[in-house]
Amino acid sequence: MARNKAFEVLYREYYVRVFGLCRRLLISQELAEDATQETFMRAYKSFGKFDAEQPFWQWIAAIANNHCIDKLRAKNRSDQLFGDEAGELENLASADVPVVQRLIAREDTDALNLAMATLPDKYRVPLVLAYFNQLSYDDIAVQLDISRNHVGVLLLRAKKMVRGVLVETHPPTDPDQDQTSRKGGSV
Amino acid sequence: MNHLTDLQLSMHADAALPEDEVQMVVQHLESCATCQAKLAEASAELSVLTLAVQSQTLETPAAIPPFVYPTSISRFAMVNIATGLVIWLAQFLWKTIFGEMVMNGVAWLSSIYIPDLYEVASATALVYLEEGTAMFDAYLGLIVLCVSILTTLWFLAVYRKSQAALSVGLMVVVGLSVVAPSPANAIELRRDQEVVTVAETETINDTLVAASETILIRGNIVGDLLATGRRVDIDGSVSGNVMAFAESVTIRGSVGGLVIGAGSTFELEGSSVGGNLVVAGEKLSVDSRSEVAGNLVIAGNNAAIEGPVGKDLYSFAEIVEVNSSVGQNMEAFGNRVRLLDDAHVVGNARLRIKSEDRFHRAAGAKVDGVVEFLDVPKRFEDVNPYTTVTFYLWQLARLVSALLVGLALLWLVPAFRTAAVGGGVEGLKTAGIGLIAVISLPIVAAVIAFTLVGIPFSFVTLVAWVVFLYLAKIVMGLFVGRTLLANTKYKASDVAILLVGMIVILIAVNLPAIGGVVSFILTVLGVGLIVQRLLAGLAERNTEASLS
Repeated sequence: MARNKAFEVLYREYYVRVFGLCRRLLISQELAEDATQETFMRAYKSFGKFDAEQPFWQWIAAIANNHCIDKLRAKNRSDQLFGDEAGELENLASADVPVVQRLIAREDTDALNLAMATLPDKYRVPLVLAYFNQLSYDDIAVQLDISRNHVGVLLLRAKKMVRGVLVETHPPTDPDQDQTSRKGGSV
Repeated sequence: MNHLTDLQLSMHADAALPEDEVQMVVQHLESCATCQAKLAEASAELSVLTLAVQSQTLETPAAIPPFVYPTSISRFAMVNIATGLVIWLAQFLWKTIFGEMVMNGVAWLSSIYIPDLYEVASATALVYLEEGTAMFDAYLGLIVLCVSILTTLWFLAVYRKSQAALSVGLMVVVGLSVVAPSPANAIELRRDQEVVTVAETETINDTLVAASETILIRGNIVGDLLATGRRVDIDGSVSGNVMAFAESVTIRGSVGGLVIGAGSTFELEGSSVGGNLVVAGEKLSVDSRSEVAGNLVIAGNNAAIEGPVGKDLYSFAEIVEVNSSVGQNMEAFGNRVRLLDDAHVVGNARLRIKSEDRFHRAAGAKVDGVVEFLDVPKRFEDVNPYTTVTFYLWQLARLVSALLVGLALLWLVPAFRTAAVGGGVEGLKTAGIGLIAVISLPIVAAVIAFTLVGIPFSFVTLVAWVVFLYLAKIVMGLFVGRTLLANTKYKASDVAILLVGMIVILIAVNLPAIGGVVSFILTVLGVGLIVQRLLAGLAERNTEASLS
């Protein structure tokens, strides 16, 4: 059937990206593999409703996000996975992690990814949605069922925590070395 | 002047500030070097973070696993429902045609005439002979049609696409077998209300089926004879087999093959039977001029054997009298056994009669072997199986064979190493699939056996069913063994896993009282796992085939 053929082409093309998304959201390799299969399974079932004008990635990423967030909610046994905004602002005020910009710039992506993987679900998920999935604050707010401002708070907190982890795991040594390996990229 | 908050800076770097705030922030940044520096840091940090999160370092799937299509279970259910429908239709038709028409016909006949078993049998045979063939053709046609639709559905579901040609091919074969004219049948039918006669001068080179009040065979039949009526007399010769059911059967001629029959009186007078003679009736006699070359099996009230029997004699008659030679052993169940003067049993005589005084042996009667009196076998032996050595030897043999088969199974299908019964709904699903398979396979086999082309399929299905039943406990043994050894150093050893699992299962199924239930549950679950594995295997093969 032409439909199956088309779907299998998309499956092969997007498997790695969907797996990457699930892996970043769920961390565990095994859970990510299952979630990827489940995502494609759900996509296959509602493939008839997919609008070919739309980018496939957006569509399948939304399915993967929904599934992974459901999984995380089930794991944490709470719909309030992302806390409430007021409490988050209090946390923010008290958290005083030093900005180690140079360290961040020097770090290789592996260390950053490892640092991100240690974040609690509620910070890691918005981070992945915003910078891997490239979703807008509004989209993330809808996806996580929280306010737009709350998304900003979670992201800020997430970034600060990544810095905190990096400071712990990679204490600053000679600041002059930074210049040689500065990395950058456009968003 | 108030500096921008970290949140404002972060959101600005993300280009996510609300419009009304952007204006204010931009204005502030123009005049504040501190905040400009912080924003630069935040932007740089964002770039690095995005680069890191987008990098492929985390993506390490060894290979893209094949996509497992999600609907295999529903397809399986669909095929099962279709099977159920076919069986229901077949039953419905069977009831309508054979139940209503034939049985009502017989009832009608017996209400008009004096109820006489042989008359009714004869009348029924007439109905069958006249109408039955057409009825059976219609019935067969419907079954073939249903089965071929089912087969097509199944092939379409399992193989889809290109391989659907195979199912179409099968459809054509099945279809042709229905519409093609049946081979010229070498059967001659003769029926008459009064009498069917094969005259002395007549020779029939076919199988003869005769139904009538009286059947007189004076001529020769080169083939088999099937005769039913009130009276069957065979004076001529039959080169093949004879099946005769009548109130009185008398055979005076020679029969080349075996004779099977029943009648109130069944007599052989100066007749020779080339094969076995198997008869049941009120009064049975083989006179001194007759001869049976094979075994003689008789069941009934009175049996008198005066002609020689070539091989064994088995008698289930109340009273049996033997006055001739028996080539091999004689075995008699009954009330009285008499060996008369001319009796000569070359082998042993085993008598299962209530007491020795019910055995009469004339002075001249000879038994070359021994005469044994055996008790009527007890229906149940009160032996505790757990106290016998054979029981444990058997269990050991079962264990060893399960080990060998299990290892071979793992070698052939490595996926069984991970097959597991899930908790909750998954476990129920496995059990459901297993139950459906255990019940439906023999039914499917029985239904497709009705069609001529279906017989090999039916055989294959039955063999698969038996194999599934045997493998079920081994697969469950693997699962149990793996679960038990999960946290030990033996968790990677197939032999240890199988050994532990099979020992547990053998003990469980031999538990008194609940062993049977345990065995059934294990079988159902095991068959469920096997079927799920097969379905998954088919789906994988499909995906691979369509991807390559």
